[in-house]
Amino acid sequence: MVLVPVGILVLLLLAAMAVDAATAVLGQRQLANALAVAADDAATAGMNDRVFYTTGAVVLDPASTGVAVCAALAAQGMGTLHDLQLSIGVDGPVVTVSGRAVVDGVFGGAIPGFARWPVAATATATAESARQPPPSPVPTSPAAC
Amino acid sequence: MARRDGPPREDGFVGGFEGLLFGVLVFVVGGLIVAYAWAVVDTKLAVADAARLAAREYVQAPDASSAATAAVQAAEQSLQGWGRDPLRAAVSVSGGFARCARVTVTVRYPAPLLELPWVGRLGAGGDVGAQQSELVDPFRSGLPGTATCG
Repeated sequence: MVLVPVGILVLLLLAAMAVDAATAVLGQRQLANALAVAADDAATAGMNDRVFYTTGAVVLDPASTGVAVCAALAAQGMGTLHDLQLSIGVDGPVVTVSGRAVVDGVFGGAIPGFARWPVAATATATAESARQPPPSPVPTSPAAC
Repeated sequence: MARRDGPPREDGFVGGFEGLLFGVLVFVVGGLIVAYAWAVVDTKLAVADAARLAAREYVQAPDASSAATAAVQAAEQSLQGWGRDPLRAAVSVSGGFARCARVTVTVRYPAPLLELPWVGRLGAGGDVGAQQSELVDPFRSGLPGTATCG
């Protein structure tokens, strides 16, 4: 008889873990979306006008790119994401934005070891003046907004 | 050891029956909580997708007059794709249609109280919202003026 409530509790714990895992996937998608938008915004807003008008080359200004990335991330609804650690890499016309964050589980507080779910994502955008094959991502370094 | 004669007694069953009752109670209450949590997560997935597509549609629209309409339509179609009723959604778009202008789309939708297999979605709980923000491309065609991003 005691096994019935115990068994049901175990089933409910498994269901709660499934919901928490879905929340983590949702958080990872949110982070990936936010980084993709930030990289996309930075690839245009971070363009170095002075270089373009003097040499015709399309390159990104690291400072403007960083500002654009931070502004884009601040404007997103980050939902349950927190403790965001950001890395930005700029190489010519390519910007790569990487981020790590933590998602709190809905039921995680009740299950030891499942309270916090780390998530990570990377996005790359390229400013280009003509159709070219996309270059590979560039190395990133830590950044603070 | 004493041996008991006579018909079998039901002391054991009566003494353990509350265990079954408690188990069913835990199952029902716990199941309802988990089902509601899942309904909120599922709704969040739907509104996040809708907001993302709406923002993208807005910044890629050919002109200002069609941008907001296209964004709302994109959000509604996305929600429909997730099996939601677009009429129950609240879609708001803020920001202007100009070079380097920031556009923010917010989508809100009531999460069902319960979402069960075969039964479907029942009742209406709290609103679940998602927000997506994008810049209108400063170098895009079809817009007058110059970019003032920084």
